Amino acid sequence: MKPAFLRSPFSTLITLLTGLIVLLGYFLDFEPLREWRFRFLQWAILLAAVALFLGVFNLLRVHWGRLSESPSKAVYSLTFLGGFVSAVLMAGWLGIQHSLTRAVVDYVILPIEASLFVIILVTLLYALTRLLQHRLSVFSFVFLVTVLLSLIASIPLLGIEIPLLHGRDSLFSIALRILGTAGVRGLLIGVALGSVVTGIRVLFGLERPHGD
Amino acid sequence: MTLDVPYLDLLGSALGVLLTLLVFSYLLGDHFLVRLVFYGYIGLMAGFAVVIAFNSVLYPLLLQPLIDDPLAGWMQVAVPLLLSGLLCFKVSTRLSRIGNLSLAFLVGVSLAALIGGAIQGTLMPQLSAVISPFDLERSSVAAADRFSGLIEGFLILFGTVATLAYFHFGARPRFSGSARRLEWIEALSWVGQIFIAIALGLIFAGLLRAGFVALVERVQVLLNFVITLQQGF
Repeated sequence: MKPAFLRSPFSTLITLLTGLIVLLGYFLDFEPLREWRFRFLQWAILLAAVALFLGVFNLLRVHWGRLSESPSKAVYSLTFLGGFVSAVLMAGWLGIQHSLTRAVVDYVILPIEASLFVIILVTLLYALTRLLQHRLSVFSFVFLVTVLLSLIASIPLLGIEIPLLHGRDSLFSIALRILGTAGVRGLLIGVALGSVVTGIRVLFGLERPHGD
Repeated sequence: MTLDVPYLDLLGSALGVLLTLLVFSYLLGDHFLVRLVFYGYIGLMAGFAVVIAFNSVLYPLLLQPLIDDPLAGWMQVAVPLLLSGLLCFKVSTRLSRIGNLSLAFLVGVSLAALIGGAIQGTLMPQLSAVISPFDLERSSVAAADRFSGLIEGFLILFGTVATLAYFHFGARPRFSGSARRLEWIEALSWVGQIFIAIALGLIFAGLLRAGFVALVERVQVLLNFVITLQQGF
C-alpha cells in the first residue's frame, strides 16, 4: 500500500506549503509572512463558511428526498424543513435582533437546550451509579470520592460549614487545588503534545484523515 | 383583535413549558412528539447558522469588497472565490476530486492554526506555570509563604510528570515475546492515574453542578408558569 502522501502528492504539497506559511507566520517576526498568515486564515474562515453551507445544503437535500421516498419519516423531515425556512426568514429577513427572532430564541431554543442539559445531567448520574456497580477500582473510587466531596464542598449543607471541607483555605480545598491542578495540567500538556504531533503528521502527508 | 404584550409573554412561556415537558418525557422513552421537537430544533439551528455565517463571513469577506469597489474587489476575492467554487464540487460524488485542492488548503491552514494554538495557547503557558513557583526572585508571593509555595510547586510538578507518564506508551520487548513498560514508568503512571481520576472527578462535578443549575432554572420556570395561571394572569 502506498504511503498517504504518494496517493495524492499535489494535495499534500498544497497542505504542506499553506500550513508552513501559516505556522512560520506564528513564530517569525517577518511582516510578509504575518500578512500571508492573516490572508490565508481569512480565506480558510471563508472556506469553512462555504463548507457549512454545503453541509446544510446536503442536509436539506436528504430531507427533501425523504418527503417523497419515506412517507413514515416525511413528517419529521417536514418539521426540519419548516424550522429551517422559518429561521432563515426570521433571522435573514427581519434580522437577528428583531423581537420575533429573540422570542423564538427565548421561548423555543433556550427551553430545549436547558432541558437537554438536564437530560445530560440524568445520563451522567446514571453513568455514575453504573460505575459504582460494575467497575469499582482504586481509580474509580478516587473519582467518586472527588466528585462527592467536590459537590458537598460547593455549598454549606443547611448553612453548616464543616471546618476541613468548606471555605477557600480549608484543607480539602488546598488538597484539591494542588492535586486537581497537577492532573488537569498533565492532561492539557498531553493533549497539546498529541495535537502537535498529529498535526505535523497530517501536515507532512504521513496521515490523511480527510481522505484522498 | 390585537394581543397585549403580557398575553404574548404568557403564550411564549406556555410554549417553553410545553417544550420543556416534551424534552423531559424523553427520559421515559423515545416517542413521536419528542422527535418532532428535535427535528424542528435542528432545522431552526441550521437556519440560524446559515444566516449568521452569511452575515458575518460570506457577506463581509466575499460580497462587500465587490459592492464597494468592483474592480479592486475582483482582485481581492478572485482566489477565495475560486477556492470556494472548487469546494462546491464536493457535493457531487462524481466530481468531488476537483474539490480536493480547496480541502487541502483548508486542512493545511487549520492544522497550522491548531499547532500554533497548541504551542502558544497551551504548552507555553502551562509549562511556564509549572516552572514559575521555582523562580523565587521573580515570585510575587510574600517571603513567608515562599516555602509553602515551593512545596506546592513540587507537588504540582510531580503530579504533572506522573500524569504525563500515564500517556507514555513506549515498551521494550521481553524474552517471552510480550512487551511491557519499564517498572518505574509503570509505577509513576499508576500514581498518574490517581491524579487523572481527581482531575476528571473535578471536571465531572463541575458538569453536574451546571446540570443542577439548569434543572433548578427549568423547575423554577414551570412553577412560575403554574403560579401565573393560578393568579389568573
